Amino acid sequence: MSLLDVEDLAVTFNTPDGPVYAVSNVSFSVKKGEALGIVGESGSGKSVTVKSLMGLLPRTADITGTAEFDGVNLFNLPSDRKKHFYGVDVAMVFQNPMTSLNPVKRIGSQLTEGMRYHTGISSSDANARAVELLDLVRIPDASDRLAQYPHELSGGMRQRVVIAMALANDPALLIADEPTTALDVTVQRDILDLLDSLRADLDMGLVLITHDLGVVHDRTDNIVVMYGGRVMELAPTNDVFADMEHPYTEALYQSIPNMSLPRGTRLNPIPGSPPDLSVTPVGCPFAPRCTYAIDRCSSEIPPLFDGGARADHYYACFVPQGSAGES
Amino acid sequence: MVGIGTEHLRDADDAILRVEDLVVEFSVDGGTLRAVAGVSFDVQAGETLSIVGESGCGKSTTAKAVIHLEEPADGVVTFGDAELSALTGAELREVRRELQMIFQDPISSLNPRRAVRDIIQEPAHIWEMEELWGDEEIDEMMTEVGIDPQYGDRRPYQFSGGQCQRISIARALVLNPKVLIADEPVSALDVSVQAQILNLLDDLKSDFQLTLLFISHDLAVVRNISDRVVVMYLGRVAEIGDADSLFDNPSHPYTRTLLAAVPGSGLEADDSISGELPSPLNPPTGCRFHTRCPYATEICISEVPVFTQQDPDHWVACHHPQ
Amino acid sequence: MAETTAHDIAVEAPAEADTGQSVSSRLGLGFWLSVVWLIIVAGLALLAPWLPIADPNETAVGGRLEGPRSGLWFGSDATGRDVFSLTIWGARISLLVGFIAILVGFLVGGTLGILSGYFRGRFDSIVSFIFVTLLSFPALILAILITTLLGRTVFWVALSLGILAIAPVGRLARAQTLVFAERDFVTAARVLGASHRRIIVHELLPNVVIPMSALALLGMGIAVVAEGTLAFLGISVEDGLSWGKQIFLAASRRSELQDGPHAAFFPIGVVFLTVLSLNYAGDRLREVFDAKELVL
Repeated sequence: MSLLDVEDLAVTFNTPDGPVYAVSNVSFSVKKGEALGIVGESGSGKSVTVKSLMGLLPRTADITGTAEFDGVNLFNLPSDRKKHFYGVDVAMVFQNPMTSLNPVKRIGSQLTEGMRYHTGISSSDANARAVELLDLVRIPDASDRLAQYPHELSGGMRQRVVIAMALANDPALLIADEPTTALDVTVQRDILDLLDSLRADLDMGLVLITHDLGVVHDRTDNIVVMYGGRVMELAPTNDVFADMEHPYTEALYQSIPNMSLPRGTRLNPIPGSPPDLSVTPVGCPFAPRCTYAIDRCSSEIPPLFDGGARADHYYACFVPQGSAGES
Repeated sequence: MVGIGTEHLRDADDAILRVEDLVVEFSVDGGTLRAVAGVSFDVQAGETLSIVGESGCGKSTTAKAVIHLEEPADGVVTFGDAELSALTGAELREVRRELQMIFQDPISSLNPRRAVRDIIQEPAHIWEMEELWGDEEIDEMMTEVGIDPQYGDRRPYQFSGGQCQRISIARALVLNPKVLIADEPVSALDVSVQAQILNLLDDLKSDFQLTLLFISHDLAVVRNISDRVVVMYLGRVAEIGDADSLFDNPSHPYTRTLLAAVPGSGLEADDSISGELPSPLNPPTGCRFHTRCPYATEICISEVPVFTQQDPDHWVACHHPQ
Repeated sequence: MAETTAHDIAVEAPAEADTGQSVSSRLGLGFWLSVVWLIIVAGLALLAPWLPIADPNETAVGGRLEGPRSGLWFGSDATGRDVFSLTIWGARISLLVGFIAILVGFLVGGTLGILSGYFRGRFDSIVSFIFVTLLSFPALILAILITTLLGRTVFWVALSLGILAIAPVGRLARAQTLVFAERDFVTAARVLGASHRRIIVHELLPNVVIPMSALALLGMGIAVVAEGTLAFLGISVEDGLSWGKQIFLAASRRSELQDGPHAAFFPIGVVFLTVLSLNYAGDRLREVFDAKELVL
């Protein structure tokens, strides 16, 4: 059974310059213990999508659709349930660990604050739990860390603290928005491995938002590829990498420099620029940059087809490039 | 000598840019931070040399010190026949025309209140070369970097990050530089756009006979574009050499770690390192990497490793090269 | 986009479509109403000598404290002078004082602020110290000192207010300069070989001038009110009636205020609308351009 079911989510921002269609027709679901990767470039709507789920969007955002968590629609959550929902049932890890932590408060009090607010446990119990959490995210000398300030830790350690804070109330779902983008390459893998093992050990649902196809490759069960605020492709991760149906997924994959190719190998960029979301969409948002686009692509918005080689492989394209296109 | 040897430098006559024992210091609360501690490398005309390393390794500071945007505390930077630190302000200004730079954040690189045509024309105004760079020539330059000249009157915020980076590149090229220093030019860009800019740089290199000094943390990008690679760790060079030799046969444990973190590199995770980056205020003795190195022994703590030759053009500063 | 270069990249249009919404429409109706009001007041003040209005010094235009009527729109004051005419002539002095004051603040404070934000170092320390000193000096005492020692003319009154404007304007200019001097386009200009002068004039000034203009409008409003305060203390401009002095005279005797409140009410209303317009226009200007900055 699904932990989170997002149906037909659309987010429109009303700006002085007119509406910005940040997210349209987005649907996906996450099961318990399962990892979902949301992949997209800037302006793809991936961050707006999760912010809408977390209730973090400004009032100018117009949200439609439903997001059911354990049968409750997050968009109609009564305010008294809200405060015991975010941070308890669903927790979030942001891109920049330094901005997620309060620079003038010790690690210990930042960790115990949320716990005590939500569960009202005693301060000594909270401290014991804080040490337990720091152990869980594999921070060495956990008990000594409680008295330290964020600036005394390295970037990777800070992100571990942020993850520990998110885990404080045993969330059923953890949302991580580009959790490694601000970190050095040698640290990135450790954090991703940590998230992966925490998901398995704690049987959490995990939503991993990233711009990097490489990040989701080995660590997610399903992938949503987003572009221009829409879902381009949605399928089990292995199926996507085995059989890319959407030209955008393929182009994105092709544009990444590959270590195994000799130097000077010409790269395959996607021509053009990301779409302007302030224009009312009439066709596929990727059509202007797509090598395979036909007339229909710019006049009609392609729906999600379920037509890959295996079941549950969805793509929004009239000219799919994988096995679905061949048949 | 502060650094760890200069034997790896090639014949000085062949180098267009030569950096010997470069030291850059910042005074901070609690002492002097030596961000670059004796770095030497050389670049030959037409080459692409990349400096790669993680944040805090001193790669960007090195780039800035090369064109004296940061004043080096010690060391010699030679560009052509000119030794940069010996120049007066006016002479330096003149020499820097041939030594241009582009930056990481494409949007911050452009003045938000000026039209892009005006931005690209700025070097011509500075050097009073307006007759060489009239509207027609600027239009050609815009086309060359892939910006439609009919939008020359627009402001930077109406362009995407990738487009802004192209505008920055066009502006630098107006001075017809010999060396272009690119400080993480694609790290702020989306993957699909990164490749556009990298291909563009590759094209411009041959069109404008450029030599490229490329600063990056992304090994896959560096692998793709470099002729020669410098790996830096905590203000020092760990490994330097021909790109193929260095990537096919990484010898420094740190280089191996960096490579192991890249998917598809073929290296495994047992080369992964533990611990944190030590404070550059108080760097480890001996080899600066010894605190995190799986192969470290006594000598690594007591003695600074100097360069040893691995291949004809591949040098490593390590007591236990792999 | 069909045209291609020698390379495999297409020539591109800007990513963002022109929304067609100009800055002027973003500023909104209120901004433009304020501007219209300010133009009317400033225009009347400028043209006062040529306008078909009564001589403000002529005492027998109407009766004493006569109420508003056709031909005597704002009524007359206790000495029978035309309040409408007085208000227009008062605008000449009040607006001129405000304008000169803010000009002084702008030129001195703005220049010092930009230079200290750009060059930093010792010069910055000295300038910052001067600003702090100016801010902590009792404003009223400074004004009294200057006007009593040097004379109560438009220039010296404006100058004493202008000196008070130096520090706030200068600190804003410095703070804005610090923000923009950190941006890569300033570094890029250095690498391109631009002189300090060129960087300040062509790169920094266009960015700093907008928030400064917003502050200038607010500051002019403050200066107009401050001149009124000086008038109440009897240390403002000696010759002629500024708005402040006019209100002071009309409101100084209680009986007069009771018998003919219009003599004070009309100039107060004009001052109120003018200062409101200055503040509102300044605020809108700042908001719209700040919002535009956020996009970056």
